[in-house]
Amino acid sequence: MNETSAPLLAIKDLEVTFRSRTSTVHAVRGVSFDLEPGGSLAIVGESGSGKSTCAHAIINLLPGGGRVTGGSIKFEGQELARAPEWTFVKVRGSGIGLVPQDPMSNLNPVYRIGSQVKEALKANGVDVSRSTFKALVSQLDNMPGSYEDTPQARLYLSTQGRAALVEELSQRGVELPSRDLVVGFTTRVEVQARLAAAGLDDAAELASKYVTGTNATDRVAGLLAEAGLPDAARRARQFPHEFSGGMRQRALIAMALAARPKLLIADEPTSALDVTVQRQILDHLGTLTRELGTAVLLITHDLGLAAERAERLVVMHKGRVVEAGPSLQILRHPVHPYTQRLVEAAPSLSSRRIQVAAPDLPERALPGTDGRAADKTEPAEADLDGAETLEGDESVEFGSGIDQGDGGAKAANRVILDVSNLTKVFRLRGKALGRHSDFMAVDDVSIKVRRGTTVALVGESGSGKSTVANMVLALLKPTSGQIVFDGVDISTLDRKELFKFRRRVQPVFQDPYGSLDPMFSIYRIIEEPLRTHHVGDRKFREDRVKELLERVALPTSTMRRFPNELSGGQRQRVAVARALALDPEMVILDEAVSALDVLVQAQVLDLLVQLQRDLGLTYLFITHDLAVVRQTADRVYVMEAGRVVESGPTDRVFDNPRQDYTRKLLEAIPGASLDIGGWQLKDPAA
Amino acid sequence: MAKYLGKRLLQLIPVFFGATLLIYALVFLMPGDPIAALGGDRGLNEEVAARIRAERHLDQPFLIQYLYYIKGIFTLDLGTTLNARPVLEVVANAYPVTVKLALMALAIEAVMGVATGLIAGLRKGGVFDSTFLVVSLVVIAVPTFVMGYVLQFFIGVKLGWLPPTAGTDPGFKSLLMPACALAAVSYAYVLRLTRVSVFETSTADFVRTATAKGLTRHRVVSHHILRNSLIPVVTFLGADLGALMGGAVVTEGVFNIHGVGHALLQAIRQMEPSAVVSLVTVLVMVYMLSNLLVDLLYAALDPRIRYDS
Repeated sequence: MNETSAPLLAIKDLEVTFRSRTSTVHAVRGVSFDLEPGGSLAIVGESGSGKSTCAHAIINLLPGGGRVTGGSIKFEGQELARAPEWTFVKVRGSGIGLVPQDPMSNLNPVYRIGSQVKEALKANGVDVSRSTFKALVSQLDNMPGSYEDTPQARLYLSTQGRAALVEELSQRGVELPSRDLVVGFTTRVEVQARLAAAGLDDAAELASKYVTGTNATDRVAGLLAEAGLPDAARRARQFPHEFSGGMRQRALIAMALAARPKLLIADEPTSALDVTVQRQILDHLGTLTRELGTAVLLITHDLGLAAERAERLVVMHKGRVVEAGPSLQILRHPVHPYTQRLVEAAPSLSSRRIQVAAPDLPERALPGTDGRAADKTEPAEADLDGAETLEGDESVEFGSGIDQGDGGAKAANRVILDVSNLTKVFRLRGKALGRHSDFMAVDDVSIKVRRGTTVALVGESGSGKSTVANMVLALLKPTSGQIVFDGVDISTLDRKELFKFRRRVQPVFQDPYGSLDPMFSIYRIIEEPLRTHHVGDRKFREDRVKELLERVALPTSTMRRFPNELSGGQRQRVAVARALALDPEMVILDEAVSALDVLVQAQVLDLLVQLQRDLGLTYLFITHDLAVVRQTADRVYVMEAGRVVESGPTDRVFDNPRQDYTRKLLEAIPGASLDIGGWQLKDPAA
Repeated sequence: MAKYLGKRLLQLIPVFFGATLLIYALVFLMPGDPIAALGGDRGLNEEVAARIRAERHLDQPFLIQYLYYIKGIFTLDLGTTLNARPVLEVVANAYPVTVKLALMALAIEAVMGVATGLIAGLRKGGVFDSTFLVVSLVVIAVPTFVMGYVLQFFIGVKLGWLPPTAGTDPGFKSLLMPACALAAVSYAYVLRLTRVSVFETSTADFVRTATAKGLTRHRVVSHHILRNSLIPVVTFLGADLGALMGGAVVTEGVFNIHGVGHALLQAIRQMEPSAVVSLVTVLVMVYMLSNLLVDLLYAALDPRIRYDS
């Protein structure tokens, strides 16, 4: 980066204050940083650190009550702090683009994708009618000189031009892959280059004849194609609800880049997406902004992701910048204690399981077992691994029959959950009445979970992992296959037995905001399962709630509060306490930490591991986040499209993945590619 | 879409039979004998009374009477009232005025309600918002007929700006005041509904994104906030059309308008099943059809709603 070049964005002593009737919150206090043209900078911090507020202050999109109360924001030398609204209308879109956080809520559901992109073009005066373009081009074509660096070089291929060109080429017998000629995206120079490469002598003439500029609709398709949306012209006519999360985020990127801003603010652009999609989108965004020379201001809570995607980092904590500098330097030698904690907690960077004493297996093993039960995990893991991957069919007998030879008996006694050949088919309604198609959500899945261990079920959304969890919880009936819990097939349970079964297997769900009833006090939430199962009297239940709150490291005074008064991490602790109320043997954690900030996530994971050690719990961890798996799980099952594609001990899967899909998932962990080798918190070299 | 439409129209059939049967039964069960009343104080000759009863199938059991009535509907012969006016004519005379009145009221509440609701929602907590919240509260609290009399007295009688009563075959001007009185309560609801909806939409993520694209405030409000906020309002307006037609009964009384309310009241007083049932059944059908219209409009406003599959 050129040190002497004037910064594109210069923020100095920025202060942002939120004022409500009852309180004043200083969300950003004295933040300063610069960003050069074409550079990249990431603001890192947990939620509430003021990182998003900073970003929104730059384009004056602070939510109600928020105001810039001090400092300066200079964009291309122009002062934006306290500038009038019309200044921002000019700067937004054409000067500064925004890629928002949640693709699901950031597109207007009632307009087509294309028209929302077109709106961005129109608002910034970069939609050009065909006639204007023709006039412009006829003038330009009379000018001498090459196409490079002239405005005509930036003319895009139109639908009509493409059709005419393809026809002329086919008449000449020249085949050009149609992918190479994307309407609204391929410029005249590129067309010329492709034609020349195809061996046409009159490439320049053809290019200038057929590439005469596009209308807004073609340009929209081009922008969407540029953002990596396949079949963009057709997709542009669809509505947001017909798009997946990743596709919506691509549309939002197309929108943000439509008017070619000099600065792109990406506010947690991928936190709401699956890891693999995350990686694709970030890669694409990176390439695109590099090609266009757009500077990027990345807002994220993930240090690994930030370090991987930005040259420089600004670490924020409670509204202040605690550390700033080149990414790798911060990662390797964090100075501020908060940064050190962040580096430590970043799941993408930590590579080892949270260490606790080995689960107390020997106690639970049958007497008379040979020394193997006392062994730590390794040999037994190998046994199970073999049973699943090599002798898939036999595993049915293996689970149901207790006395099947010596080895079988021992293993079966330690296996608390044995899922074999589980299949779930959902019937999708078809077009006509009575017609339907079958969707195989879970396809022949076999899983074994040993008492006192953690087994992780990993996969992208739609891989069927949550469906498996719901079936194990007996909330959903399997189409075929068996779920044996502690020796009993749960499909044979009657109502009473099922009620008892639910005491022994408890879930913790992903969304700590949605899974707690807002009308219930914390006491009532935790007490409810006890009351439902008629456990103890009033006094007993109260003591139990207090004890549970202590277990999850919450003050007992919490029980008089309501869910909306607690933070995300506290709520998830409450959810854990509720799950533990009935002394379950197994807890099913369905993305239980995915919605939490890194530091909070680390705390909750620590808590879970500690509880497992103290209470001998068995965990079935459902997650898309491999980094979390690595920290907690003993064994991993990787699911793709309803099938288990790989399974084995965590370390084996991570160090030596056998399947491409697993490898893809592993590579998608943000920061996986970073070399922070040799770094240690107390590195003497630091 | 066609399939959905067909299904909804088919649903009208059982509703039609259910509604007519119920109303017919209610009128049938009313105490008193309309034929005996025809003779006034002198009383009616037994033979004549019997003949009239036979003519009108009043000597038959209830269900047979009802079937005769249904048969009449399909042959477009709704019979005559006791003073020999064809019922069809009664219905045809009463409805146009009421429909006109209800549509005017609907237009008033929609335009005024959405306009004031939009401003109030965008400036929630401001002076405009607070003022109109109080206004809407007052309007909701005051019964329609009180509102009617107050308007009639001040605007019609004292100030003389508009005719105080409508009379027969009223025009736009003479219906304006009744329409305002009729629209008042619904206006307050539309205002409140729009206000909340606009406020919620204006804090939505996609509105912020639209602003970030560089759109002017005007465009953001008209394209992104207003359109999305209208979805619940339209639902209310559609359902309200039927309610307005029914509510017109009271307003018509106050302003002396010879519409459905007037005709219905007369028919009930004279205990004429065929007239009452015909008038009310048309009301029910209007209600059903306006609800269907709302559902279709709903799909037009919100592309996520599709009735095909």
